[in-house]
Amino acid sequence: MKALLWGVALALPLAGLTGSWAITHSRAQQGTDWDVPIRGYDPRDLLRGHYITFQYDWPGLKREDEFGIISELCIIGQAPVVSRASELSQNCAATARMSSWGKGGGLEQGIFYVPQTAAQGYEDKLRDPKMKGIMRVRIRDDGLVTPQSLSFRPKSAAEIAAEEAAAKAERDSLAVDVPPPVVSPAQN
Amino acid sequence: MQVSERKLKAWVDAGLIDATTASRIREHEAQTSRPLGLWALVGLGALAIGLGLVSVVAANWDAIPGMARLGIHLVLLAASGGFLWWQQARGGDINAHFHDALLFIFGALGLTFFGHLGQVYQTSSSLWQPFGIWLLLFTPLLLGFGRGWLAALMWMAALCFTAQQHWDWYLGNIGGAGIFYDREARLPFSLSLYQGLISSIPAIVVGGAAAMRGRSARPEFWKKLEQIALVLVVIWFSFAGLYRLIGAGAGMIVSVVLIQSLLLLIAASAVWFSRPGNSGQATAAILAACAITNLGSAAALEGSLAGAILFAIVWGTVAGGALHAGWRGVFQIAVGVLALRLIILSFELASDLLGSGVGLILAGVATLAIAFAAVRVSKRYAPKGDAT
Repeated sequence: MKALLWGVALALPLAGLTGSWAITHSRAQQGTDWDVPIRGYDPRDLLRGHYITFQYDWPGLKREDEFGIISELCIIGQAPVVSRASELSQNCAATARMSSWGKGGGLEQGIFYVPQTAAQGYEDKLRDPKMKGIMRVRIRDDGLVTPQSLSFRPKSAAEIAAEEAAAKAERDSLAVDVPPPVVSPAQN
Repeated sequence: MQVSERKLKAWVDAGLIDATTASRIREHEAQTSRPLGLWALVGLGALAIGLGLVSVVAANWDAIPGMARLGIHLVLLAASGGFLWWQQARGGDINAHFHDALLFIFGALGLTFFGHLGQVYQTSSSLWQPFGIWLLLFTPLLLGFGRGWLAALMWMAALCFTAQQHWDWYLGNIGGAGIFYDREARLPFSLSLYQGLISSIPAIVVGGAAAMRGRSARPEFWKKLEQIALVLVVIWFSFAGLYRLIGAGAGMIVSVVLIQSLLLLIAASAVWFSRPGNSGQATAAILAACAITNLGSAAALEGSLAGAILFAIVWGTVAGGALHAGWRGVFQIAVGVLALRLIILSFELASDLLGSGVGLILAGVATLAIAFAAVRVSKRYAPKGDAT
């Protein structure tokens, strides 16, 4: 009797872990793949150990509220090409939802596990201003977004020009107008 | 059991054994004892092999496809599980520490499997999920077959970590732990019940382990589990004033405090009735003291003196219980902790005395007096021997 209990106590974790693997695997196959451009989260802190943190550059996304967390996004396009992403739900080809289990940050941020030896290569490519990172993600019917693979393509001239214009606009908005110095006779 | 030379001499002096018997015992012990140094070398060798294996796998990490890595991990799990089963089936009398070490390795392989799954499938989740599933899968093994402190510690650590992670995630979704300190808020009872239960997990484990101790073929395991949980309860109360540990702290809403104290009293009675005797009585008294001080801290008694008094009630009961039960080490620790708290109190009070040199002198004198008294008390009144 004791030997039977012992066998059950040992078999339970093995069965459970194998089951976990099977469930994770079948869940991972569900959903459609989309290619989403990304940019690095912080060039100095791109790699934490064995994963990179990045921000999704959802095409055509216009934020209503600059500082809120996006919890739901409507994806418009033909898989895997995303034509546009919007916060309003109209004619969505797919809907991405922020996972309630995961870390905060909404649908703008993500992490991607990379092997340590390949890490430097990814970091260099993400820093390269002439290359654009494209993350292939799998979006499930319930909205869960899971990264699958990362690839790179050169940026087009139009993209580079648009980024430079945006950076310049940001610099101009932050610049402070310095008033001319006022010279007055010294009071004694 | 290690028979020390001191004990042998004491027995000979007391007339329990004669000199011939004493020398025969010495001979026997010399032949059968395993040298500590040898065990240490064996442990070091095993550790080196383990680390080497891990480095080899890590170095070839990306060369091995994800599915194969998970397969290898699962095979390792099955192998260690099979080894455990074979050890027991052989009928061999394995050393309790070795048995627990095998359980620990099996459990650690299982826990890392979840992390490995997350890495291969690029998933992430709040930590309470993998840890919670691990608890469900491994509790029958650890609680049903654990033999000593290692299995008890592993299970207790996993339980507390899972609870803390769930508490962190759950409260993060509803506004943070501050809601339990807002006396004006009208919280639903289920929320107070959740908070009360989750902060009383160590207390519940003390009661449960005490109850199991008499009914199990492995009383040593339940004793260790009870001790670990009791230490956690006392630490929680000692630091309640300093950190807002899960469910601790002055000024918490009454419903939560009442639930916590009630659970502590239930645990105290479980210990009192399942372990009659000095040790059980002492443990029950400590739990009851914690229940009472919890009520006191809920009354939001301000001031350094009130905090010190509540602290002294708990640790004074620990010291008294140690005297009653004959716990030598615990008594000395309790006296030391009380002395330290008194010294801290004297500095807290001295700072009120206009910040003058007089205050500091008084605090210094008090420190010396307390330290002197503590050493005298500790030497003179400490129970002889360690009867836990």
